[in-house]
Amino acid sequence: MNSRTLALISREALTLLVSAIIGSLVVFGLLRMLGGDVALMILGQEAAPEAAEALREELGLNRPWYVQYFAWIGGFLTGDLGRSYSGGYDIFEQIVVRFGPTSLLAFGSLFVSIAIAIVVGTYSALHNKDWTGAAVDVAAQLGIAIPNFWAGLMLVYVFAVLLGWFPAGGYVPLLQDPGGSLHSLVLPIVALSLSSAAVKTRFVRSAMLDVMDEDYIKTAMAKGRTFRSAVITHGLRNASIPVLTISALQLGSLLAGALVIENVFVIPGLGRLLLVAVNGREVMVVQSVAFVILMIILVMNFVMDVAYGLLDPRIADKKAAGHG
Amino acid sequence: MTISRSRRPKFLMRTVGALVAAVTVGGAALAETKTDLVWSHPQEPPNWNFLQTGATALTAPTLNNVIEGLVERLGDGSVAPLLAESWEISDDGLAYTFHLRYAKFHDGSDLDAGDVVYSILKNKDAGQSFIKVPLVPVEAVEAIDDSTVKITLSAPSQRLLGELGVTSGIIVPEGFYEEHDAASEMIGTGPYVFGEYRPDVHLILNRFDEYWGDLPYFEKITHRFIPDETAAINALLAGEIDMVASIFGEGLDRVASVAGSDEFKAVVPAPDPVNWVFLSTQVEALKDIRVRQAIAHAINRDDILAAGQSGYGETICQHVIPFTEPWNNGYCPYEYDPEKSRALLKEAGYENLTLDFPYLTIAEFPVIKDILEVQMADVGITLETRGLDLATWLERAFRNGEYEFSNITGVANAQSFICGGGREPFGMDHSELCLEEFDELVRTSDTILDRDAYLEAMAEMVKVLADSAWVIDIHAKSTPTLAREELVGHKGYRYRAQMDARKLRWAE
Repeated sequence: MNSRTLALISREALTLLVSAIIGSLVVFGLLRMLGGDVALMILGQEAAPEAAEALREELGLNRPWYVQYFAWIGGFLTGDLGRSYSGGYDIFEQIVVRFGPTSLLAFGSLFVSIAIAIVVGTYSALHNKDWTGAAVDVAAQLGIAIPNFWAGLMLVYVFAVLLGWFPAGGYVPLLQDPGGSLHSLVLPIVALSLSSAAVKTRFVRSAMLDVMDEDYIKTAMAKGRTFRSAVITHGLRNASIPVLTISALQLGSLLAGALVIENVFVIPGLGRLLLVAVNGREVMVVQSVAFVILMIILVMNFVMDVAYGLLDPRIADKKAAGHG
Repeated sequence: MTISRSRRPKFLMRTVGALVAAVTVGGAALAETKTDLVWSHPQEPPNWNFLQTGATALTAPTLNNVIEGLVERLGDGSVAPLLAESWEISDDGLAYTFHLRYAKFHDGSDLDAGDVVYSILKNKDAGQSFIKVPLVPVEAVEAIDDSTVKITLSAPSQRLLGELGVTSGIIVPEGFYEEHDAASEMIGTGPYVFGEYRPDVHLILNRFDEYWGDLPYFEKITHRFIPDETAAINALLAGEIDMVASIFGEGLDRVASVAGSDEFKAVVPAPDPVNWVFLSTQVEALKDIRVRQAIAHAINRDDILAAGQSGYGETICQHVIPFTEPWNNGYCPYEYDPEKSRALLKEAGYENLTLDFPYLTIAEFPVIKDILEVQMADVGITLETRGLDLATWLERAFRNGEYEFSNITGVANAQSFICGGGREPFGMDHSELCLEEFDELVRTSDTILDRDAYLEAMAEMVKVLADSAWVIDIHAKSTPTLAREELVGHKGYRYRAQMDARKLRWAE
């Protein structure tokens, strides 16, 4: 590993660390500002006042904020995030268990949206002069505009309730029944991927249109390829870089969208855990899950930045010189 | 393999068709056997320790299914034998002697008097008012022999027997709370065993074949947690679940249309929880009874029931829970009369009153807030509304008393409003209401031995509370259930939102 590469990785790692610390403070602080009585949420409004106070003391809710923060960060570093106030479950264990459905949903949507974008975007570019291409363009606009929860509800109504092809909700663990698991995720993945597919479709279409006028297309045709074959072969390579860049950026919104979709389809993922924990003022759970999601995005960005720097040294040099 | 152009469309269609078939058929089907039942509930309790957790989401699948009390309270308020086969009450009302039936707990141990002594004493120390308060008069609980228990009271209590039939009388094995994690386990004597619990997914109830009574029809019940009512109803329509219980949110709008089909029906139990407005005792204007009466006269209960509950329930002017109590006599001191309301406000000198109204942003509360805003504005009262989620509302309005006008639904009995009782409208320490006549009736009514005199005193008690207009009751709500048409055996009443499975079966 040369010094340039080492410098690049060190720089990006430092950025990651500083971002993580600031992120943890923001997550922790915002949740403290939220307010709400955890003890009453657990015990209910008919709890005896002394019982509620005793529970607050037992849960350590009366400790100073900095004591609570360092206890949490320390637990994070040791893999012990504590237990849920109300349910008593191990928070780290629940995050691990629920990470599976959420990542299947989010990454599944990512790959599906890339596949849809490549096919549909290419088709739209090749037919950009006729009505079918325009229709695809309109569909892409709608895909961006339609909220994913509405799309989810419509998909459930048509494909689950009316046609009975897919379940209306629920989740089957992948290891328990791979076929059933994928079956249960078809509708949620389609609902979640529509918007991101629509955005990527426009990028693919644009990239393909750029390629279509290039001289090397004519060269390829002169060598015996058809126009369509030449455009697809060379254009897709051209489109892949922005598509991957957009995909990495969209991962954050996919994880956020998964929260809504998990609720619509009753999938026990991180999103559901977060929603229930927010309502129940389970600050330890919320800040831990929020921090996990934050770290996923930060690490993805770290990997992308390092990868770009390695692929194109000019990017690394620009960063080193402080030009971004 | 090369496919000719002419064959490509057919090949493509066959391939797509095969893929669709593989996806739709290959996955695990959710079909249940005839003796399995799948139902859903919109809420999940924070944990399963019923001494600690007040949520009806806990009692919904477990009361009388998993855990049982000494007796069972029926829909008309009377009491039937359950774990106690029979009982005697002394003439002075101070001693209750219960004779236990033979029954087994789910851990295989036999029910005996020691379990009852243990459980009642634990219930007496519960963190929940609705469990411990009825047991306040209990002075001693002793095992006379293995199957006989004597409860001695410091004063007679008319409500004790009925409350032993709901949650105050739940019986668990001796040592349960010390030897088990009550937050995640439950052991009772009911016809169903507390089985697999997957948070945010389901609770499985398996039939207990050693149950002391008639075995229920269903061998297995899957209690699914589906908080989104639209998703739950869609699952019912898709055939994935057999029953959607406790619909109280956006699903209410669909109950009539779904139940209108031949495949499904709506089961509407007798009303149980009550919705009420409560007023702060710290506001100068509200200390004038004419202002409170004006507020009460300004409320059109029919509109609120229609909009907030889609009509499921009954309007009510007194704080009687459950609705079916015999002292609920339909008394209504302040009928809807905006003209009278304006006159009272003018007489009191508060023609342009503004009140702070923190409201809950869940379930029926936003709709009720909208209607109350309009109704109050009609008589010249401005409600400054601010929406709060439940946790924040409990902290600010309920615990800290940061409200002037608010609205809640609950199962708190009228007695809990006694001076020093710590319930809204009192917001704990900040806003104490001490009505001498009411407090005296609360203290004495329960000790009246003569049943008729007791009922008369209870009627007077709730009348006095209603007349004071600090607590303005609006309606008793029914939370309907949607079920498959062929699912029969539903109970017409519920306590603590229980989903009683003992008589459920498929129609022949």
